[in-house]
Amino acid sequence: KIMSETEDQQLEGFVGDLHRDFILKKAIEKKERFEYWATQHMRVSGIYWGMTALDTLNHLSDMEDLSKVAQFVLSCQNEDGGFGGNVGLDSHLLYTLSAIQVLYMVDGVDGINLDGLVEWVASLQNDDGSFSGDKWGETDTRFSYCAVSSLSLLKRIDAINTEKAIDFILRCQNFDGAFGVNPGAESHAGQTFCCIGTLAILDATDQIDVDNLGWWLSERQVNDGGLNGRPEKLADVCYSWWVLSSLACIGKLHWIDKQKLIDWIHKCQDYETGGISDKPQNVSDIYHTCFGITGLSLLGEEGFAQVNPKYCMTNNTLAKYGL
Amino acid sequence: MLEKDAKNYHAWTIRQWALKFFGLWDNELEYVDKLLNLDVRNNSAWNQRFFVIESTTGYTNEVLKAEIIYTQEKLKRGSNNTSAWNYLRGLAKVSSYNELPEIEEFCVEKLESTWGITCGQLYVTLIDIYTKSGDHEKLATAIEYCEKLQSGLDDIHKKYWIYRKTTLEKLIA
Repeated sequence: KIMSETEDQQLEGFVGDLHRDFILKKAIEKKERFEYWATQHMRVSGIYWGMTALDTLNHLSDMEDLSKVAQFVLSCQNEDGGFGGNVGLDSHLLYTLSAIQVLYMVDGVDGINLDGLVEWVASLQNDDGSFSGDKWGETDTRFSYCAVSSLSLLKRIDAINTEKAIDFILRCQNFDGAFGVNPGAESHAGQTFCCIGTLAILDATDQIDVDNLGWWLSERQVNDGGLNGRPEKLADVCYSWWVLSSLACIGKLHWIDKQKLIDWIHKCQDYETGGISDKPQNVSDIYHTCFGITGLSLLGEEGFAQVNPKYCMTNNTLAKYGL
Repeated sequence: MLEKDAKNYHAWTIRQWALKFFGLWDNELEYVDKLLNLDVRNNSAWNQRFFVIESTTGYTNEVLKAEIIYTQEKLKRGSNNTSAWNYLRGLAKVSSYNELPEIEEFCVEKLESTWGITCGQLYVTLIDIYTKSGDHEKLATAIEYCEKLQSGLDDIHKKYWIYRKTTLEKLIA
């Protein structure tokens, strides 16, 4: 996809209908496409990204057969209680959270084997408060977020040791105020969202220096308006979510130059096929479409449903189960 | 893996785990140095420096002084290097600007050079130093520097510098 400079200048604004069509096409993607098979191990997350984008655009009702989606996702729950990324795949916290989020959107939460799930999530908490993603043991602050968010959505947060969970998160804070994957790891905006989201859900953001963190987060905005994930790296649309939601959770969203970021995200849209890509002029995908749209919602773009910065789900959807 | 992509986050995660698990600290600082010579803006390498030193010698006075010189040398290769400035400010966090007066001396000296016109991070650092000093005159200068950043040198972060200026003004009032 090559666009001349003049063509580029003429295309402005948010093309929501194109993105809706892009996502709906993906929902009935033909199995002959390479992308379908390359992402089959994370199908449940793919569904979450697509549906969250539609939900934020107020187009969830354009999706057909939501009960079929519920059926499919529920069939990804394994005997150990966790969810795999697709039918018959091993349980993992990443896909367990995505599954719960999708089931919220398709009214399928009641079909979950709840006790099984809660027991499995709780079993993944380690002595130091961290969480392993699955039975193989790797720890990562992403998994803390997945565990805490999952249980919070299911109103079973009491099943884990929340104090130790907070403790571990705090140990992942670096001198620059931001957070990494494990203690000592480089500060990274995605990991930072997972840590701040966890603290926010557990009502513990008062335990960190928010001014320090707020500066590191707003420093992610580079001169062309986009956001990067770490110092000296390039801007990427997904950080529109990871950075903005973190700032929202600590009440510093106003530190970003909003209009410049909105304009930059708009430039990442594919005006021909729809969808949003990681950077201007690149190929669009469901993941960046989701986080570009949820980012724009946080920035106050008109006509979007309000997205909750802690859960990356619309408030409308969260209200269904009283959250 | 890191040879092909020296900032690969996942690779660094595994490297840190392996270093801790197998206790392979001996040549790691040398490796970090090699990476920084290839790309002085490699944020992962700067973080690794912190990780290795904290896990081995710790930031003794001797180490702090040596690290300040190291960082200053690296800054001379490119003044607007956020990662290097972050590391320099991080050293002061482990200790304090009072214990490490050479940081302030270095910054004040550089004000007279072209860095005073082009290097936003120089002012960011001086604002950090002066905020922590508690000295009224220095606080007033910090306010001036906030204005300098918000009005051109770092205007993408204008809103933050306006907030920072307001906070400093309250300290003087």
